[in-house]
Amino acid sequence: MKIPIILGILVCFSIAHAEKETLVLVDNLNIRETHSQFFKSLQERGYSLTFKLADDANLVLSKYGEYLFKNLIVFSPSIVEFGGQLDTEAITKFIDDGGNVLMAGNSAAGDVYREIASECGFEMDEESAAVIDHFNYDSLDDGDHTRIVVSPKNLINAPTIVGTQNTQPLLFEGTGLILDKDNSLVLPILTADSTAYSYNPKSQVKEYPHAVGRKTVLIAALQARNNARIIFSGSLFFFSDEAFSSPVAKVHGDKVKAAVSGNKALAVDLSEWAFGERGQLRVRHVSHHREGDKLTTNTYTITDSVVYRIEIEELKNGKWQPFEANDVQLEFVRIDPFIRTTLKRKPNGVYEAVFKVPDVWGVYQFKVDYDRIGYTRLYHSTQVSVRPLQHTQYERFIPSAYPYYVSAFSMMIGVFLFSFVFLYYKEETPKTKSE
Amino acid sequence: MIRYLLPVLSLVVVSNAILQGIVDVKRLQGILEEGVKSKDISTLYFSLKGLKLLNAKIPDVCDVITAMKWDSDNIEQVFHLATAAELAGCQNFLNPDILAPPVAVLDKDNASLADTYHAIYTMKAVGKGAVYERESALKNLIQVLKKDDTPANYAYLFALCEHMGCQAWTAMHAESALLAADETDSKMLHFDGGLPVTSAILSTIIRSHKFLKKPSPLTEEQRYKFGAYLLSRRSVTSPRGAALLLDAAVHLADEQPTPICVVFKDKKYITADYDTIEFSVTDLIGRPVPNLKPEEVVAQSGTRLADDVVVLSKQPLSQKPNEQTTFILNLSKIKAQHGLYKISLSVGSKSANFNVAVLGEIQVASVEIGIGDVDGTTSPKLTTVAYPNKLAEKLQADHLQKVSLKFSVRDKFNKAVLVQQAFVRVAPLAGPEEAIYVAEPDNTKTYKVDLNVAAVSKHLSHASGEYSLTLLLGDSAAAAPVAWPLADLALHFGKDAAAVGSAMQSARGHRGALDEVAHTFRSAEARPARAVSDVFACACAAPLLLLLLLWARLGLNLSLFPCSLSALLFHAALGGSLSLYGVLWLQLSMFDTLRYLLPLAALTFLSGHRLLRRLAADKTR
Repeated sequence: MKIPIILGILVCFSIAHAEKETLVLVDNLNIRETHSQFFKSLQERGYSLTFKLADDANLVLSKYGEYLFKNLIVFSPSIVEFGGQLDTEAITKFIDDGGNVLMAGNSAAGDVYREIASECGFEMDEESAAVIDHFNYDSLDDGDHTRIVVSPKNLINAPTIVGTQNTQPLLFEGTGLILDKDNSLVLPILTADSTAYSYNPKSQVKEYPHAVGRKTVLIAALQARNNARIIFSGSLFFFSDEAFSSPVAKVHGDKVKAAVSGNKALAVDLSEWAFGERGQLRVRHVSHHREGDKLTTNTYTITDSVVYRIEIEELKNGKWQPFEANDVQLEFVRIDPFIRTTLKRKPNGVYEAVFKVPDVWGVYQFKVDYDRIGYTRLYHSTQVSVRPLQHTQYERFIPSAYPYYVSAFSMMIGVFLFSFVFLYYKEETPKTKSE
Repeated sequence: MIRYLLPVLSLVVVSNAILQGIVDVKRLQGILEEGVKSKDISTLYFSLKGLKLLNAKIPDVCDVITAMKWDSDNIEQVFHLATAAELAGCQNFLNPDILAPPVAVLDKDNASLADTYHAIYTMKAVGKGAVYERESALKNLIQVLKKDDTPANYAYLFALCEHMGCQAWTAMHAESALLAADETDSKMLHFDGGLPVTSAILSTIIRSHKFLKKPSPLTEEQRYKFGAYLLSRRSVTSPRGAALLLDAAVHLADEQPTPICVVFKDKKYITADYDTIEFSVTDLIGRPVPNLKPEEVVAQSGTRLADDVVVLSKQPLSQKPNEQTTFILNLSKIKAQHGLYKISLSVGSKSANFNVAVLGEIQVASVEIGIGDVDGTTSPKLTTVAYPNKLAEKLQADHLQKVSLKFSVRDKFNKAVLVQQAFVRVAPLAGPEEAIYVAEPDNTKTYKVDLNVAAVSKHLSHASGEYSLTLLLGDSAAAAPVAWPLADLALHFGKDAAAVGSAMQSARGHRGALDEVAHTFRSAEARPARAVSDVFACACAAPLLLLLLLWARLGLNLSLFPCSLSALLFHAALGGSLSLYGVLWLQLSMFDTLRYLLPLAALTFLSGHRLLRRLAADKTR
């Protein structure tokens, strides 16, 4: 009796915790301590972290086709080859199956990093190249001007990903990333200033650097079509305790100073987004009906007025709560959208549109495709058919047709009356002659 | 093969190396002083422990300690409370019940070493920790240790030994315990379990050996590596971390010979005005290194990183008066040759390399800018611009032309130099676009760049208009970088061009709200005016009206009407059929109409038949 209950409880727990299972791959276990604040913030939010050396011979992501982890953190830039069953292919498959990845490298990162980056649509600069900014480096820099100070203004304008409290300058030391700007799935989270470039800090710029100016991406993100999320940082230092608690003082230019860098806030926000704590949307309920009716239908007549309602929820602080936005759009589609309208926000996350069905009949779909930076893609479609008017539904009493109506009815009245005259008329006998 | 060789090589390097960092005791003390105000037992305990290590003043926290609640099942918490009370000097304020949990733990057969340690030290803190039968107690504990010989358990046992007076056992096993330490990158040593375990083992071993007046079992290399590990943990923020770090650092620093730490006191670079570098040479926690003669601090060599030229050798550092730990390196010899230098510094028998920058000012000189044709038919007319002015006229260029720019970079002594970054940036006056070009130096160190306007176009989304040209010069050995907006350009990109500011096509896919689409309904067909249709309706009604009028005039004799049921029925049915058409027009569907029509038609047929027969019979009669 008790065992099934205990088992049930265990199953519930394991489902609840499956989302939080995280594998952390590190170069050496010391990283667990040098980046302890970041890991601590994850643990405080309920993640169970499994630390493994990246070249551990027993690394596995999945067993019997089931993934043991939902999230993967790779903090091992010096890795040449992953151990166990892990390689670029396994990580790519992990992402294809919906796993989230947070990866941080540095200028010494090897080819494995480059391979994974290019699988995700980023390009990582060559080995030993680092982002250099002679104009915006920190006073604690080692002389190569690679410990750069980045203004939070260079962050992508997407509060869902980077949070809303980024006011402190950020410290970055590592390699630059390059994004293909035609790839709409990758996002430049943090870009360098115009004066920055990515090159080997020990040499003079002889060839055109791979990443120059604002095109140098420091932290990039990808939300795949299956809503797997990847954050790729060129800097492992960015997540370290040292960067979290360091003061910032820019040597040149506007001489920005801050008692403590903004790295911690951003790193925490990025991990919240990457591991799906934020920016998750779901459809709770969809309904549509003719205006004035109560019941739904799957057949509409042309030019009907239709009411469409969709209830959207967002995951906030671990709970599904009504989603609030002003740009949710509905499309009424027959191959092409005939109508695209912005849904009106009602209380409790309900969005509503009232519109008139087009006067072209066919098979249509109500489509809500909400794809915004930082949010999971929300897609919902419902198929309905739209038919032409029945003959009783056409207009009667058209003034210009009155002559026809009158002709028809006058003919019918005429026939009716004439039938009497024809049948019963008695000719008066001409009395005059005979009488 | 190389894999195995590397650690060996690095061992050689490491054994006489210098730690380049220092545990910031002041910062840690700040954390501890903040922690003392905490109401949490363990935070308070670690804060007090850390402050005690620093011999700092311990505030009066007896009220807080007496007011604290504790859980008698949590022996660690009880231990923290009791020890905190002992450290604060207020054991007498404690509730005597506090002895119950440790006694309970010690009565258990299978108490873990951690619990035993906490229990015994709780009793010790309260003053009841006398141990009898030392030998058998130790034997029992060793049995427990054998079951699970983790470094953490070793640490607990070492600590228990300190209390029980079996330091000799510790001394015997210290070496093997130290060998169990994990090594990272062959630079650091630490124990599995991190800072708490590392700190506990180091401090217990060192204390025990000091008690026995034996030489420390730590080799110089181990000391260095543990020191390196502690330095990697110096950014701790919690009172617990701070106390543990201090515990280990203080004990390690008391070892002789102590690991030497050398850090830059202030700047890592020299300029023409400020040509000395200050190093602070200390032990791990910032105290002067004992037995260090000032003349033992020597810069063995200095080489320029760019070309490996040796610029100084065996230059002794001078000790700063009044500051025993500060040593000054005078680099006035190389202050004119800017660049990065590697200084090999030795302190006693140990040495380490430090990178030092000699910064020089850079200036832009002989800047010439002009417009020429791409095909080279006309040589560009060059105008000279002087830093930091901006070219007065606006340069006009179209897609068949190029902008040529020539400049040289000079140092303070007007000598042409090369810099790492010599970029030219073309960007609209407002907007995120930019195109950056690299200027290349020739043999005479004159930088040159040609901006082909047609080629620039695609980086600026083909938007003709006004742009500003900025010269960016930077170098890691430059005292200050140069960003000089030197000219305004008006670029025309020819037929591909779009005007600046016009809506640019977003290259990134479709994210965000799309334009709304509304359906255009078919417009109603044109209809004649109401009056026209009314007139025609009247015209259509006219024949019937005329008929009725004429019939009325003539007077109808319908005397043949037979007053029979069939006649009435026939006309009623006929009238009914006709009006059914009216109803059909108004509301019925065809099938409804047929349903109603069928009986009516049958009735009309039968009654009509009978009526006609009657009429025919009447006629013949």
